Amino acid sequence: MAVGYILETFCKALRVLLGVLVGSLAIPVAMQVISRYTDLIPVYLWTEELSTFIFVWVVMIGSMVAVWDGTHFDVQVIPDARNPLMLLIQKGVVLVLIAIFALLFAWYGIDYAEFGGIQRSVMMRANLMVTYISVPIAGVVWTVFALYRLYELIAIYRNTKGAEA
Amino acid sequence: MIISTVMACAILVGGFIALVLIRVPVAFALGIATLPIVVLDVRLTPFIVMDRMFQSYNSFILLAVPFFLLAANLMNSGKITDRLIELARVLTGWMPGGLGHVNVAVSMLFAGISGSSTADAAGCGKILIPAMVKEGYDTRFAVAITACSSVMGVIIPPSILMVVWGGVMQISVGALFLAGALPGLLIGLALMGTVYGYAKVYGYPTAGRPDLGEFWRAFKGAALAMLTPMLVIGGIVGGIVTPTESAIIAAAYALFLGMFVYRTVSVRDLGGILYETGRFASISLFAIGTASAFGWMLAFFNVPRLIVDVMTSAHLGPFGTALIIAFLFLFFGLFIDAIPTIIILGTVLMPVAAAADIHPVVFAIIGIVSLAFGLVTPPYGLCLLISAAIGGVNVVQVLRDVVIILIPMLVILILIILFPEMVLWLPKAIMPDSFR
Amino acid sequence: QTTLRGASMFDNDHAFTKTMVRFAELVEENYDGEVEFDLRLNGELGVESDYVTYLNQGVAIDYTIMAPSNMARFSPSIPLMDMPFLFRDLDHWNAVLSSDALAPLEAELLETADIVILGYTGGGVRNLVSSEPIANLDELNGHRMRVMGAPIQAQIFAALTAAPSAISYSEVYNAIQTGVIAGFENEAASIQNLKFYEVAPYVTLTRHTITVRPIVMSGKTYRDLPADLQEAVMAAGSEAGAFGRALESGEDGEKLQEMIDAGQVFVNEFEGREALLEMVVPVQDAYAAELGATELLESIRGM
Ligand code: NA
Ligand code: NA
Repeated sequence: MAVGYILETFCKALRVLLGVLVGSLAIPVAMQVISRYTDLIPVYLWTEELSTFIFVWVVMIGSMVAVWDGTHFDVQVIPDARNPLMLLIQKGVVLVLIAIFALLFAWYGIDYAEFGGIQRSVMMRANLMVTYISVPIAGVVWTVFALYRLYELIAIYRNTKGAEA
Repeated sequence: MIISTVMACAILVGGFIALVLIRVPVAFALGIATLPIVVLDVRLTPFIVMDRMFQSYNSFILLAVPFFLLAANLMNSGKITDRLIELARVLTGWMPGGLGHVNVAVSMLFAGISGSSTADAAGCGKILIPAMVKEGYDTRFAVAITACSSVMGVIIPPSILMVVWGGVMQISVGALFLAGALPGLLIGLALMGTVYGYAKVYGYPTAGRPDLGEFWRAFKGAALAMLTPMLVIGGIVGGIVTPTESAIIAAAYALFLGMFVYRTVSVRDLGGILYETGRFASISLFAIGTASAFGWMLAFFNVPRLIVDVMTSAHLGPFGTALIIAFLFLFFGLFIDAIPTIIILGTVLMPVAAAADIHPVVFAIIGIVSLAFGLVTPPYGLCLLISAAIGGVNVVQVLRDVVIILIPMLVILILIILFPEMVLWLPKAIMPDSFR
Repeated sequence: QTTLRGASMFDNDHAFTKTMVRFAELVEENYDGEVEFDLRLNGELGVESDYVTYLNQGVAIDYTIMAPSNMARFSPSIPLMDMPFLFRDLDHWNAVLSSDALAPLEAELLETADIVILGYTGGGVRNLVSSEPIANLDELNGHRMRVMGAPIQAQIFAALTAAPSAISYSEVYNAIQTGVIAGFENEAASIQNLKFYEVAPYVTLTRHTITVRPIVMSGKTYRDLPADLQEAVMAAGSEAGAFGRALESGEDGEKLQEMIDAGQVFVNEFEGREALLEMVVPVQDAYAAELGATELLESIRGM
């Protein structure tokens, strides 16, 4: 289960990063308010830009963690299947569909990141790849996470079948 | 090939519904449903799906979402919610169906502090659903009343939805906040009426009659927390902060209370709260991205224009138009989150409302109240999903009670449509400048 | 047969939409082959900053009209073409746009963003808009105003001793109403369309910017067109541009007058406007030098 352990550790790092990013999101917005009413800091016009940069990463990292945890909201119209094979198919199909979407993101995301790379933000003149790169990264991470969950699902199915035999 | 409007609509809507039925997460279902279109139509590429998603996160207004959520999470973790529940108990617990009233009342208090309904459902539900079940309430009723009362979170100010609405459609957020107050209170009263009815039919108990000492302690305990709405609304109406920035004031104040006044939040807890906020906010924000891509596809194939044409050519008058607007928001709210619906549908219907002489503030409140109901209507009702998960029941099991509780709330919505002055009088009285 | 898709953030009555309709007519007149136009209105396909992306990638739309600042992510020099106090008056502005003075900027845009400029419309005159009147430099001093998101905008107004502020455009209305900022700057059409006069009824005639709005086409689309259609499109672009400039600069005055007549805005001149022209020169010079566009700036000033 070395792969599972590595992925769980990686996801833990993502969780820490997510918390740090949410905390740091407050900084540019607070600066904006403080600079307007006090002379403590000058008016920085890049605060809005920086906060949207962090915001994009919060959303993307959060979406990765939610794929690993399986916490993206679904609608339970159909209850979980009782039969192990049906359950494998039911959950497997969902993971495969997510993996396909994720793979497209990873593949076309490379072009998208390059498209970010030819742009610079207006205020900070930052190369926009700093945020656009989150698209292919999210694609790769979703793919890996979804495929590993699929692998686990198959392993569980094999075990129950082994127990029956 | 080039896809026709009808075919695009069939693929997008049909695909989405099919994907949701086989339990693909809603956020992914919205994105995956657009894929056949970009593959089939020569004019589109996957680039456009990624770009529409990505650019929707490039929005300063949406920053209000994590900050309002952070404020609510700080209240939940800092046991501020417990103090609110205690206050609600001394105020309403003595009536038949005591804990049911407490559930409604605490949601009204919570709504006045937080802009988020989901945090209310999660925070109050965690305490009140088990407590209600223990006192002999039907679990289904406990779950349904928790979910339905939490929708007041986005109707009673402050409100994430109003911040987004005001920003997207250039309407005074201060006026929207004030406009939401009365409808929110009426919905609260309607809910309490329903609880009373349930208590009479099923013989639910009271939660005890408080003595004067309890009263005083509960008020003292919650007083500081109850200052938050003053700070947030005062901050906006008084011109200290923009509506988006007001969310950070709410969060900062909740942090101050939790860490320094009540000392219920440690630095260590704070890390967990920040993570939890990011985790939950990004799940709904991520769905905003795929919903934007989905909505863009509909627009590319002229679907909204068709809707508007049909509606304006029917000459329905203000009442008929408002009814249909409410219906459309309710319908969209069945499937997707409120914020993307505002972006996709609100902007489309704004000219329709204007053509029918519906005041923009009234239009906004009709839209927001209808969307708030979407929070408890399956298939995609976040508050219902959260409450059901806490109660350990399936959404389908609680549906009957949700419908019963929603009916009086729908009556309030119709009253708003019939008597728009209900919505307008408070902002007109306090912010007459907005109505020049 | 070729179909060209355009996009406008506005309805049928807006000058941009009319200019793009005129553009389509002109192409059809000038070109012998079959060409169809599909113009999408009311921001159905997004806002101007989205259109830049579409044009660069050659997806969704083929042509549009947009503010230069929206293309600054690709091409940093492009906002120079309508920076504040660049044009002395409408005649100067018209002369520059009818010439090929802006060719260096066009070349840079094509290279960095793969966007072709077909012609120039515009003609809105931007003035200070505020909740309290601003009659002179004293009152401008420390005036908290929202500026557009390009550094040159903030630098210019800071040089005029105002206090530029970072507020998202979508929050301007609310920010003025509540007093977070005291005003912003814009043209008559925007003040009227978005009802900014409700919160900021004072218009100070600084006339600091006469807008330049390029008619643009995706480079990918343009290269795929047959040579004679390319020619027709270019010719139509500059003619439609002239049409649009006459239309919009005329409408701008009318719209302002409409708002004055309706009692929605109160207009006043700025005492000592000439002083402003001198105060901004060093900022303009430094900005052009940084972009390596000193020569361009000199040639525009000299026209
Ligand atoms: Na609220
Ligand atoms: Na509740």
